Amino acid sequence: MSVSEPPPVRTDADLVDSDFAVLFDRHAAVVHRYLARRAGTGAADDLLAQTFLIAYERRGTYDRTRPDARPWLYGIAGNLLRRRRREEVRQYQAWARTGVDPVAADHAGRVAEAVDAECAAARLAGVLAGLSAADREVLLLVAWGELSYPEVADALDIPIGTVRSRLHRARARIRAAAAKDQGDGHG
Amino acid sequence: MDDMDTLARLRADLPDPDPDVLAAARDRLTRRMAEVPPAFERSRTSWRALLGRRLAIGVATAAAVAVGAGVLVTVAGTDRPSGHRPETGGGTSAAGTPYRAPTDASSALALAADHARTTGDPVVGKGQYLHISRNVWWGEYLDGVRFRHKFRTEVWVPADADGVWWWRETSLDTKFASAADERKVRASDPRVFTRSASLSSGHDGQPDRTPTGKPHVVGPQEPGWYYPTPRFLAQQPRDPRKLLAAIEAAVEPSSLNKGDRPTMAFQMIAEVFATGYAPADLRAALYRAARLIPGITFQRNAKDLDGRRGVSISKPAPYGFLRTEIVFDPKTGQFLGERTIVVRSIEDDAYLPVGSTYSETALSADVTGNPHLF
Repeated sequence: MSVSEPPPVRTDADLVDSDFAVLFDRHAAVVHRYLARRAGTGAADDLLAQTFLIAYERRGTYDRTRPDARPWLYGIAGNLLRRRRREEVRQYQAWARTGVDPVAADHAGRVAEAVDAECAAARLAGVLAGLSAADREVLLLVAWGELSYPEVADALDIPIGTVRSRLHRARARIRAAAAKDQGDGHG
Repeated sequence: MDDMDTLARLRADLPDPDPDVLAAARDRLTRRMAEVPPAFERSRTSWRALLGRRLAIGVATAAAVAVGAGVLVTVAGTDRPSGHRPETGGGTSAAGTPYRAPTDASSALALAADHARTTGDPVVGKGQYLHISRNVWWGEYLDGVRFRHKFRTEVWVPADADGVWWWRETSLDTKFASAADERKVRASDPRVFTRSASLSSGHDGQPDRTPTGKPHVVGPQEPGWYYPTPRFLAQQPRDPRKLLAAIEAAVEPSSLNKGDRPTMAFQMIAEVFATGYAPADLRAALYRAARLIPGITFQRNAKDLDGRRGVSISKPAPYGFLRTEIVFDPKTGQFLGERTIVVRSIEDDAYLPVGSTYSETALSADVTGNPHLF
């Protein structure tokens, strides 16, 4: 009887080559979560499958020196979301206008929020609706995708300086909106 | 609370994805994966990565071979006395025996092996290059649209083992099922329609530099069956059984290939042939190794891309959606190429109905000077 060693941990780069289904198992939930936060659960259900199908078809483009496939997958998901940009902006606008998040309202398990938190959320939604698509994408990859700046740069294939400047611009808009709310007595 | 913290909490309480949704998405993925023989795909991506471009830029060798599709390799000059026949032994009477058309895979492969060995390799003199060129049709997939893309991939292999290799890949043509499909791809990625060439140089079969001096996105790969270099191939066994065992051992079992090592080995053999630089004794051994693989079917009347007649051996991929076919001329021992054919519906009948060819390649070779591409 031979002594078996624990199998080596496979990086995402290994899985891209050898077992794409396991790559799915590793990241599907988190990619779905990101998609759902951007587009709603119903849309995310379909976009998730599309993201991985495209990823599989394009796996030749995966940089094998990258052990974590999340930025790459988010980049593909972002391309799909871009085609839904109008719907995405509309739902942020509706959220800002009504104070009710149309995405969160889709599911029954929604936790009731305090009124002031709802106000803050609606304000943020208004900012999101007003951002350029490029700035919004960087902002949400950081806030919802939990990617680092270099990972966002990877995901979007843009220089890291561009990530910083877009994020800086987006955050300035958020702060400006918060200051305006406080000035209006809503803070 | 920081502005980013507030933002990070938005929609943070969305429920986890429905397990049924994940299962359905996974099922769609694995069905797609089953459409293309994974070994092919793997090398396709590898080579593509080596050549440093996205989907639209193909690959030299394996790209062609790889994608599974109908890869046809045609060696230029096979009909000429000066023939440069790196792919196979080509001598018409190399075995010195009257030719009798083989009636089964085993005898056809044995005949091809004899001729490969006796014909040997083309002479590439000092400072010269073996120039291998492939015209490749293969399937692409972009934004939900399937289409066919034609490339010419060329590689110049130096006579000097330490010399500089050169690659050039040129996008030539596209074919769409409909004008609407074409418009969609054009809007999504106009680069697909660019007829530009991609250049690179490197060493020992692996590109490492572009004309601008930039390294390739993917660094050099460890030579192996998935990245066969001349040095690697020179070290492999010539005994057919040992050779087959080495190839089968190199196949990584996964959910993609069902651990079907003989079939994966068959596909790997096709890839190695199509590199264009497997030496004659290895080509002979590959023919004989193929004889040891069970479940091979034989076709007496096969044609290559240029209409040249030969025979073919084929084997279905692990999931049975595609069949890989190696075409060769038993009369001369010449390896003509390979193709992959859809044999079971892959639920894409508008684009790839049963019986259609997924992609195909024509290969030619000659001996040249240093191309000095950049």
